[in-house]
Amino acid sequence: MSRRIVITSGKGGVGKTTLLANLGSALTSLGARVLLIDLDFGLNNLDVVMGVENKIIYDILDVIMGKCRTKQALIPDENNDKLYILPTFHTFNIDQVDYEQIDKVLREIEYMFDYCLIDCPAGMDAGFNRACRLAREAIVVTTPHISAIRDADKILSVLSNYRLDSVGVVINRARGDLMISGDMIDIATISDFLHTRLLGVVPDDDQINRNLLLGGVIKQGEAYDAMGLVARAVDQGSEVIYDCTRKYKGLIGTIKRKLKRAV
Amino acid sequence: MNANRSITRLKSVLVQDKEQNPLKILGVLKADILKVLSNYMEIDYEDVDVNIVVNKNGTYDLEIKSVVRRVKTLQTYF
Repeated sequence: MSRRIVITSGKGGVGKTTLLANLGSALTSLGARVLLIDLDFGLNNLDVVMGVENKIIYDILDVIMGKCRTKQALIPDENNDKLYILPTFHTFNIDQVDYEQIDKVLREIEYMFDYCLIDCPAGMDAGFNRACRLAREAIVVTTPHISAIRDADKILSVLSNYRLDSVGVVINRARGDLMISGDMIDIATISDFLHTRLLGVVPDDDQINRNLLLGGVIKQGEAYDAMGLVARAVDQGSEVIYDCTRKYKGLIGTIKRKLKRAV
Repeated sequence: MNANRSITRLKSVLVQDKEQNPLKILGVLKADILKVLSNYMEIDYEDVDVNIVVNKNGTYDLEIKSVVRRVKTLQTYF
């Protein structure tokens, strides 16, 4: 049986979909076969993040409606034979789909994968409930900003009502330079407030923005290294967290920080 | 240090949010606690005072105060 993990946040725009895509890719580097499932009905973006928006022939609604077989809707990543995407539909006919129907689809194909990573819509409405009911584990994504941390705290409280085997937190878009200068809440403080296992920290990296222009997962850079550590935390229970402040420490680090601030 | 001010604001909003949670659960919790306690002692619903207090760091303190009229004698059947 595959590990079904929902990636959620509460607040929109914290990088759930980007994290899901890159975490999926990082897990394949550890030898796992991974399926990325977009359950953000109507506001789906996983196809664009992965750069496969022009390859979609069937989506999950077509599978549910019996227009195709589940395997026909799967889109393989062109650079990674262990990574697949199950896209969702663009329309807003959300009422057409319920939890049981998606669960049936997943049961048909999950034997092919070690991980099913589920992209959850923002908010705490029916879409959130549907995604969380399908999952057995959850990763809550937040950024080091008050609004995102507050929403993550609420989501963690709501998640305690679901029968999940584990819940972890990933702090995305961390800025080591601002943390050192005292202009951003540091990782330890966020972790203390959320009282939940910290799976990883992903730094704010321009490489991600460059990748989003053309689609596809990152292949290098700080965020790539950090995603690798998150993947190890998820897959092997590693407790090594990426230190986004490291390169801004010491004399050279101070110069880098001053230069970055000046620019 | 803007981060320190930010942490103070974060503490404030988290504690405010969490203060609403215990109110919803308190009645059910009190009934469940009473159910367990009544196995061991004679106790009335009105005699049990359950309170949940939110700490400044976002954790909770659970306070249970009760008047017990009689502690039951436990019997074993070996």
